[in-house]
Amino acid sequence: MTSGLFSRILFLLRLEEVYHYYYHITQEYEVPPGAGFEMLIGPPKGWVWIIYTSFGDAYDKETGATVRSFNFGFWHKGPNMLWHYDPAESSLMNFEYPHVDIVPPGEVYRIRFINDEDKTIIFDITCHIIEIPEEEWERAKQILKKFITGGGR
Amino acid sequence: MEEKVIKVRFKPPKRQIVFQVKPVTKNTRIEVKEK
Repeated sequence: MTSGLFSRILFLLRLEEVYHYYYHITQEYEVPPGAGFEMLIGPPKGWVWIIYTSFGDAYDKETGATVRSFNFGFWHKGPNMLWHYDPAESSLMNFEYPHVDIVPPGEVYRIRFINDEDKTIIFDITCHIIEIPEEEWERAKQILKKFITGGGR
Repeated sequence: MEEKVIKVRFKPPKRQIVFQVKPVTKNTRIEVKEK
């Protein structure tokens, strides 16, 4: 899904008057060599998320140079997304692709990162969120079924 | 072993969402800065 398609989903929800919120959370990480973390993010009780993540360029803290490397990247997983690895390579960093998932209440979206480079790396991630009340979800799903997969629960 | 510090900056949303950043490597600490 591209950000353009994400915008279209927002438009359709508004057109059909499905009650929802939109917001995003941007995080900046500074990670020294050999360090790793896991980020978990999930909806409040009673709400379903459509989540779309976008990623900025990673850069070397010392030189400011953009990092393109298979050794820099992260694993991520969502309720309907299998664990997979995203390296900071140009085929991913210069191309928008389906970083979307549905996150029901009580579940989380995960990003796991370990810095295997020999330098401190700074990068940012934005989680774009459409938040829909559980009671509106069945109707929203019908409207969006041709755009999203994995929303069958 | 030298301690590793991962720095995270973000502005929390005005919602009670689940949001957690935890270390997955040894001797690593997360330092959160709400900018």
